[in-house]
Amino acid sequence: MGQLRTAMAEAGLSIPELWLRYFALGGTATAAQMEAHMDGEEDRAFVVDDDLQHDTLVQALNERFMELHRDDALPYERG
Amino acid sequence: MSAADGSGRRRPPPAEVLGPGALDGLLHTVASLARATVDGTDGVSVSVVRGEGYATATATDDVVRELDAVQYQERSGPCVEAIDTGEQVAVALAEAEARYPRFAASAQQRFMTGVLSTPLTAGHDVLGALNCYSASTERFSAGAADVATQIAGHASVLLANATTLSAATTTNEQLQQALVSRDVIGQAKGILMERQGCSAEDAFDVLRRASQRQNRKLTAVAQDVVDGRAPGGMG
Repeated sequence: MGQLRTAMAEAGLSIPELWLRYFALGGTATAAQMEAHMDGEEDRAFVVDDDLQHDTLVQALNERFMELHRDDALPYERG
Repeated sequence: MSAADGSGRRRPPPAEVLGPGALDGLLHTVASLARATVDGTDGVSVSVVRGEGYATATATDDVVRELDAVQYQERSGPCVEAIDTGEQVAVALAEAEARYPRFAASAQQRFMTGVLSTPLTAGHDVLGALNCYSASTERFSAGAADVATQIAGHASVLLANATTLSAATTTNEQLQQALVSRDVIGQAKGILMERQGCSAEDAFDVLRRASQRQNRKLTAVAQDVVDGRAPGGMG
């Protein structure tokens, strides 16, 4: 299982829940594209701004970890 | 606007939009947000493509719904034009009698003075339009047009994810919160881009790093920027 999938499971979020958080942070991809990215299926994943969309998704997960008082944040693509 | 070249293809949004269901509530949230935040707006509707015609998916009141219907019948009016061209249309009704004879007359009988219609797009497809009606303003300001464009952007992403959202038990309140958060972040990015002369991506990075440093949510950091309370190091 990929790192993002593992993180989503640890965060206790479903795909629709995670997508809504990603959308709230300004994410522009569909839930299906987000899921494909998490599974490393890049041909079906983000169409534009790959790194930005990835980092927006990571931010959504890290904010959930913040809520859970876990300080092991996932790394960002753009540093 | 991706369809601003006028080559937009019409594409009906998912069927649930036109029937009862979660999506109607969702679009109603978008319409309420537009009425509250687009300066000069008194009534809002969301038009969607249906077959060769148009339909109103949601409206904040009946007058707006009726005036949409006049446009669909005549195939003439700002919201029809926004869908057909994929471009934002702003009109002062007192000056629109030649352009949309029947609609301009009907709208003025209903004491409307101006309309701003913004297309809802997904890639090159036009899904519908967000229509802001005013009974107090003839010309919507450039700022109001920008806000309408942002909200139309939110609505387009929501429409493209209609199936996901219908499947999820997303409450109206959660959705409202998500929309408000997205809006605040969009505003903060705009402020940072102007202040630092940077790209939207760079502006997001600035907010994200501040969020990590301060161990606060990105929305809270963005709200600081919008309120002019941004701490040092953020420009």
